[in-house]
Amino acid sequence: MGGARWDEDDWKRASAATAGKRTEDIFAASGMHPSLNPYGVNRESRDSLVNPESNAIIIGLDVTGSMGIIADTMAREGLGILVEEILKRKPVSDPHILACGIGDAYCDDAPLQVTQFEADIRIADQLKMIWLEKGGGGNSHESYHLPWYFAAQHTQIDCFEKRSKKGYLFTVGDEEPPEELLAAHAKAIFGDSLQRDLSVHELLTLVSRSYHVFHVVVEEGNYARAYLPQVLDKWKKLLGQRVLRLKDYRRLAEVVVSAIEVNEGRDREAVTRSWSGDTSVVVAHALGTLPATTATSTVDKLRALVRF
Amino acid sequence: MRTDLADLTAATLLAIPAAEPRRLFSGDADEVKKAYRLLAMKWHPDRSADPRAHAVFLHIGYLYEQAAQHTAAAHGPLQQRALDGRTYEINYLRRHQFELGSLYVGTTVAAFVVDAGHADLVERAERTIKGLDYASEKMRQQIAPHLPAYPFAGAFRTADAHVIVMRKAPDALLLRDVLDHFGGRLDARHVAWIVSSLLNLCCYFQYAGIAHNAVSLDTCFMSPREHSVALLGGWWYAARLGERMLAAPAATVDWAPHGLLASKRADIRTDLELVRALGRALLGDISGMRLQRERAAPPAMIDWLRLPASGDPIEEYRTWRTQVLHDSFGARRFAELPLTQSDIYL
Repeated sequence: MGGARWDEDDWKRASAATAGKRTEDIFAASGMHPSLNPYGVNRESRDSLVNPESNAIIIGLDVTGSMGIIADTMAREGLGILVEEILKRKPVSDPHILACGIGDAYCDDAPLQVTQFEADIRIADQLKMIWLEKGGGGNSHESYHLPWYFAAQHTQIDCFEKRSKKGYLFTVGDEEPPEELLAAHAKAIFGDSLQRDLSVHELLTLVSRSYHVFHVVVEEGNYARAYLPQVLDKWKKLLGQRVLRLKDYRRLAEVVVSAIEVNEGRDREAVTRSWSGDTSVVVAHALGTLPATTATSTVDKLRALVRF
Repeated sequence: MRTDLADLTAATLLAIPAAEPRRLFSGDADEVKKAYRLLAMKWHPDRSADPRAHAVFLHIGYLYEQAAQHTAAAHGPLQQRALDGRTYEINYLRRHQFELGSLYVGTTVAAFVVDAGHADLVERAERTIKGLDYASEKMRQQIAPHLPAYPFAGAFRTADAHVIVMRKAPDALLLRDVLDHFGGRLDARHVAWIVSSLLNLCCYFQYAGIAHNAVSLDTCFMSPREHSVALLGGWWYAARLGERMLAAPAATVDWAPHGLLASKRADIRTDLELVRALGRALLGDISGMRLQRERAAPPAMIDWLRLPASGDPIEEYRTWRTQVLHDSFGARRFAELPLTQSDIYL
């Protein structure tokens, strides 16, 4: 998928259609749409004539409890900002976006929902098909690792296959990371037979082969408001500087774009300054000390010796 | 020679791994040169308006240099003058560059010429190899033939390099060269015994309390006759488990367990992950993404190669032998690989 091109006018029309509507009017689903069920499916991000150098970007949104507000904001404005800013700023070319709805593998009916990779307005249409189950259990985490497993095992992306360029994967939520993916959950959710449970560290090893993995902590979320130090500590032990602190959920798109820019080698301070007003403050807070990585050619890579 | 060279984009060209020049330059010396000229004309920064022209020009130049070594200067005598005034000559069959210098593959030796600036890594390799210990004579007999013998066949300093010469079996072939010979993909049955052999070595590493940290196509030699693998290269990066690593090649950083760069400590999981990456590379796709689609191996084997390692080499080896190989190939059978040194190097 991903064979079409983003059209700003399409987005303006779609965004205007959400004005004045309540979240439950926009996200009207009362169950998981079959087309979003990850069981036994693969998703592809392929180059095409209109997107010759595609780049896969996955955004996984916590849809438990009050976190549905994030998906609501992305459907109204966020996706438009995300794509338009990527096209304008060009940290990567030809973005193909896949959105996920993340729930809880232990207790939800739809612990993971996945759209296709799309390059045009269809991503917004599919996002709105996600069921805001508003579940989640009494535990301290949601199943943020499900998109990792899905990305690693069930996506095929030309940016990596053809150009050895990793895709991007952002998960967004207010709770702690889970500790493991149970083989029973992998069977039930994806139809995969794992020989054993996989720890969250093993899942990161798996997904990091082909994706840059980030997590966005929604500081306004109920759980994060109560246990922020604990949430940050656990995520930082896993992802280090790739934990982004979001203090205004309405600026998620800008934070995601900025993280991609910095990861692609742009100066963090310059990226922060490129946004105006409050947005620059939110972006600076989110990026923290995220280091700019310098892209090296394959020649440099072969000759490179990493000295510790 | 590829007929679509002129259509290749900057991104496609830059994505060709430097270690795989034959993906761009195939054929004999004349064809390689012709292809290089065509590409160089197109991508010379004075001619191309593409902002990446300079990077592409450098990259294709490097790939050409590598491909030319395969086709024109594949073998010859290597002469090295030691600091003590003696001159050494090694007849080699194939030369490879690696991140510390050059590897010369000979009939009965592999000579590593390491740039003088890496004395600490050379010292680390010698210390580790010298200290390899075995629980019993039986273990020594089983494992030692697959590791570098100490004392080395030769070790000396030149004005600008350290030269380490290791003995190897006459039929031992560098995996990189074998993979090139087969056009980038080995039959899954042969990948299976290579992985088995390396997992066995990982079990020994756990016993010996070390991690090698650089298992790859460029450090392993296979013996088609014996169905075994000798791990001769890459010892520069070895360390005792838990010890701080001095360095690692980029490939290790790419495929090692998540968080390795943060801890910088030797961990057996690195070797286990690198064995899986090597298995995928031998099947033609180190990323593992295409293996299923291209049916490069039986599903059970692909699943195992793609999933992360557990961290327990004995458990890994047991699962591999009793479950994965059985589910993939049924009862054990010797898969003959009629391949000799002369098929590849002469």
